[in-house]
Amino acid sequence: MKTISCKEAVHFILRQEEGKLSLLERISLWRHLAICSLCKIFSSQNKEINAALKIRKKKQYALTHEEKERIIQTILDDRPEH
Amino acid sequence: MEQAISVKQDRFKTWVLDYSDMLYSYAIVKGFDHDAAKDLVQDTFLAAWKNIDGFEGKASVKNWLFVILKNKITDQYRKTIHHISVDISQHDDYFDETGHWAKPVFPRALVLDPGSETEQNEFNRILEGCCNKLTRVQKMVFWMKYVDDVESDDICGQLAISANNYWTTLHRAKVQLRACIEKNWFFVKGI
Repeated sequence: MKTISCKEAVHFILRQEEGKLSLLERISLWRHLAICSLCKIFSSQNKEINAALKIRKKKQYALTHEEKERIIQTILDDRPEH
Repeated sequence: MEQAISVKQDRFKTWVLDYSDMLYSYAIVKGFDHDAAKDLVQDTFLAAWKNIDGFEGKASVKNWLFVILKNKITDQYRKTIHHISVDISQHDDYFDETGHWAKPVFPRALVLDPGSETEQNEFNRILEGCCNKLTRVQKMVFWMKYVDDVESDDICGQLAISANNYWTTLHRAKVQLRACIEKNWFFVKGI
């Protein structure tokens, strides 16, 4: 079986997130991670980043009441008179 | 007639009051800065106001507004991608010519304590700063994937880029992001 480089391993890890690895590719990746501590670190960092991105996704921001009023005014005042 | 217009205006006002925060948050999470996000929200409501007669409560207002906003965001992305070409050069700072991690950027374990809220906040703050350093194309691909959970095939279709470009872009974005996070993390921790 073909051995893969770290660069390819990173590529495989990202494709794996989408379930896009063939069985052979999964085995290659698994074998690479078994012997490569750097890629193992990358893999766990990647998981930490993805988890943080999930949290970030739920973050709420708010406009001030004045900003909302301004949106309403700008749009309604812009209306051409009939 | 006058009355119909004022009913319409009142309805529109409640939409802005009820949904602008949601739309605004969504635009920021998708990588737009506060001012750009505000403009997008305004454009969304302007389009909604212009089409208010066509809407007629067919779908939920919220979904309808989100569809408008998402289209506006995709338009902006497409415009960007036309102006900036995707970098597909072979050159890579993070790996040597054999495809091994380049020595100056060997990954180091972050030793993040998942139970500590302070650490988690610190990590999120660093993540935000590092995400801002990504190129616009990288951001686009990144947010479509990680905010909207769009599959790679659809991202390629929507942005009209090849699968190869997509994976190269995502790969670089992730590797660059982790290097940035790591650097800042160890700086903060004083290691």
